[in-house]
Amino acid sequence: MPGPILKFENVSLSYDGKLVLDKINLTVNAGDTFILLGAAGSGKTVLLKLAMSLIQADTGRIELLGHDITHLKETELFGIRSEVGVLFQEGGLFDSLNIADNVAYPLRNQKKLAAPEDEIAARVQESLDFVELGHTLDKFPSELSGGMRRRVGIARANVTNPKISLYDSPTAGLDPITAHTIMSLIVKQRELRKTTTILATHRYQDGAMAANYHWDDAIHDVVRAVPYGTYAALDTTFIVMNEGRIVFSGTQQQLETSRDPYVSQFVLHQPPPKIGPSGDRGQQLSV
Amino acid sequence: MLDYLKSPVQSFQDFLYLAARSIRNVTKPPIYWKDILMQMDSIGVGSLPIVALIGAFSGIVMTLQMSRALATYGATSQTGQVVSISIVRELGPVLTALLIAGRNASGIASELGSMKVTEQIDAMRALGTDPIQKLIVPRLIATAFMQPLLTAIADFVGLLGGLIIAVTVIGNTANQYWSSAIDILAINDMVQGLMKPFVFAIVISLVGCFYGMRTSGGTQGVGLSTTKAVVVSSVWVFVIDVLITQIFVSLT
Ligand SMILES: Nc1ncnc2c1ncn2[C@@H]1O[C@H](COP(=O)(O)OP(=O)(O)OP(=O)(O)O)[C@@H](O)[C@H]1O
Ligand SMILES: [Mg+2]
Repeated sequence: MPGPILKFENVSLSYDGKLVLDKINLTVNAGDTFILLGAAGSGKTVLLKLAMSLIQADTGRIELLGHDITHLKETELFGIRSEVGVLFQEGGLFDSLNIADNVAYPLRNQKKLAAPEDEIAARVQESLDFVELGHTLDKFPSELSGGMRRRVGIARANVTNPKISLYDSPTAGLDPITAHTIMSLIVKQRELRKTTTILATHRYQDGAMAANYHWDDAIHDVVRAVPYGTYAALDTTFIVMNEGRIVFSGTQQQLETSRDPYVSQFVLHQPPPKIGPSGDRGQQLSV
Repeated sequence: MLDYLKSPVQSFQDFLYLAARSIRNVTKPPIYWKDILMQMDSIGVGSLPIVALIGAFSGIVMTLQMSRALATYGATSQTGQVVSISIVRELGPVLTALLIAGRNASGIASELGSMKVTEQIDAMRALGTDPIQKLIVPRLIATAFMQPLLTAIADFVGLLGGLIIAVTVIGNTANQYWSSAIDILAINDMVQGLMKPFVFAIVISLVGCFYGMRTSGGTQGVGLSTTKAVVVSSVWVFVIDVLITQIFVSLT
């Protein structure tokens, strides 16, 4: 596709007089992985919702898949949104529908994706098998564990074969093992289907995994692309947000050597040491 | 809390905007028949027992209260008239509306509110459905259709309640009671008695949807929206009742 998949130009948004996004600029190209790090309330969810125009920006311009979506009407957005996969932070699974119907929802309701019922059934099965929940078709969301619901969310996000997938805090509140499973599914989706990925999280490990791990279909798990201690990068960009502003944007290596107190806490889980390794510190934007 | 500070004028304007969009969408495709039928079942059939019960009791109580006044004027033969006019014009529509406000405006607000805070509404929009079409329109249609029916049932059961007292306490014959009750009703009363619940229904369902859709702040927010939906829709029922009554009084 010519041009970027997603582009933010000077996007600002405030709620009740409080600025929650301050002049955001962002360009995501096809095949990129963006890791959005930030403390609670820094604006990750708001940014992802703006990206598919579920909320409207006050100022600035947003371009998605080559369309200027800043002022589009809801009816015009449906077609564009059908090429975007999204996993919501709060899940967003429909309580009143079983798992099969939840995953089939976009296929049944997006006009652009209309398909005969038997094809829908096959794709739902495939998508649930992908997240290893092929046996839960008839269950309801309330009957699944939190981690399983997250996986159903991933299946629903990706059943449409989207060009870009947005994951909002997919590992929040999960144990390390389940979080690893979720992240490996996201890597698997990215690798096997070439999906451009934006992932909001407050766990640095999630980003490190996206940046350095490949999906290996033979062993059915993720493997490191390069030895420990080196950076694979894998087209992965790290963004750190603080109170509605992007305060860092760069590679994993740049992030790890950043000495900005806020930024480095996401890597070290504590304030940075006084003297650190010198090197390229990435693009330090004012805090 | 912020919501209280936000000017009520702004909220009212938001409400009118949502109401206009919802009403305009009633005839637009896609029409979700299954959702409409499900809502009719939950609003109509679900409310039937309580509506009938309250209808019967209000008929009984009112006839009891009237009996002494009527006896003072020696007009006990008119019992049917008094009961039927006040039930059909006023008590039936308003009591039913208050029940629906308590039972369904709250149900709608809490259901949509929980969907809002768990991002199901966002998910709907992201996955190709318009929440107004899928959630609000079916509730609006179902309520507007069922509430006049429920009111008619409440009226009828109320008249039956009146009949019991008229016969056992006041000493009317059943025939006397019925003929005086039916004869007095003019077409005007019928129109008024069905028009009120129709308008009430539109307001109650839209107020419930409005507060549900603007819920924020987690489960606590859901409780808050539910309370507001019931209070606001009940107040509107009385305000609109006065307006419609005034219109009909000045017409005759
Ligand atoms: N509907 C809303 N009304 C008012 N303020 C809002 C609304 N949605 C978000 N905000 C505010 O916007 C800011 C950013 O919120 P956002 O949900 O994007 O944070 P986040 O980075 O996703 O946090 P978390 O890691 O906790 O999910 C917060 O200060 C929040 O209070
Ligand atoms: Mg968030």
